[in-house]
Amino acid sequence: MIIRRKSRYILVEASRDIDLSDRQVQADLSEGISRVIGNIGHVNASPKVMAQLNPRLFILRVSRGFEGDVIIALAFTKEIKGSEIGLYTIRTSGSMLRLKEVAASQDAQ
Amino acid sequence: MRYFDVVGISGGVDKGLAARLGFSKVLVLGSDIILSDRPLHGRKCIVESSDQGTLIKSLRDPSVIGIKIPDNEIDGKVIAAAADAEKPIVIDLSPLFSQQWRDRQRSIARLRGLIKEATRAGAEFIGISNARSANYLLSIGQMLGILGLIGMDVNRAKATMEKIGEYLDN
Repeated sequence: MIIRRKSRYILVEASRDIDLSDRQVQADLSEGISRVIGNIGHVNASPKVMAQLNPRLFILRVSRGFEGDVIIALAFTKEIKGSEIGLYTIRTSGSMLRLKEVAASQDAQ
Repeated sequence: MRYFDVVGISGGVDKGLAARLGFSKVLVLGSDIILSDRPLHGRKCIVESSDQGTLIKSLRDPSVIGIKIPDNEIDGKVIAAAADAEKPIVIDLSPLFSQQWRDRQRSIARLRGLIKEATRAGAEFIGISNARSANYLLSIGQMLGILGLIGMDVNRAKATMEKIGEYLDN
């Protein structure tokens, strides 16, 4: 039997533009999270970039119950592709649609 | 709920970003609040000193918002004096980001010890990111997570970010 985990979605803002279609950027982000929560934590949390809304804003999917660990890990991730970066977690939600609405309302302001 | 952070970025943080991070206001160390080694009469300040006597004496000064214990050392006398004076101990999270992992683990353990002792004595806290650049800013969720990591429960962690507002209103 396959266990289906429920997910939580985190809206993340970067302090500078990043291109998440770049494999190096994805690898550095993943490594940054692993460095804090470890390999087992990474497997449990299963973080995955679901959408990049603009060059600084993206949505990360994590397994429910592990979002707190990933939020801390993102705070400690300070380098991507050789340059310094800050990753702020703006909002956590059980639905990706809700985060897209939050992002859209921020753009409108 | 009004949450506040204190940063060391000259020029501060724009209101839009502060709101996205979840803060009512992000104060700047050096202009909104001064970090000093002794009380500055009439100017709101946080006193940081390695001298135990100076720290204890500064707690009586109304201009002092809180005290910062260098290297987060556990000093029972200072902690007890802060609790008696009802002045918070400032928890600066910035050193955690400028260290190698091994040093960081040591710092986290030291902060946990300080928070445990100070909580037992009945002292209050002010949690600040003291970010030196935009890359080191933290959102409310990240602050809560890190304050939890160093031994605070959610309610106390939230209170540490509200605390500075009381002094701004006065």
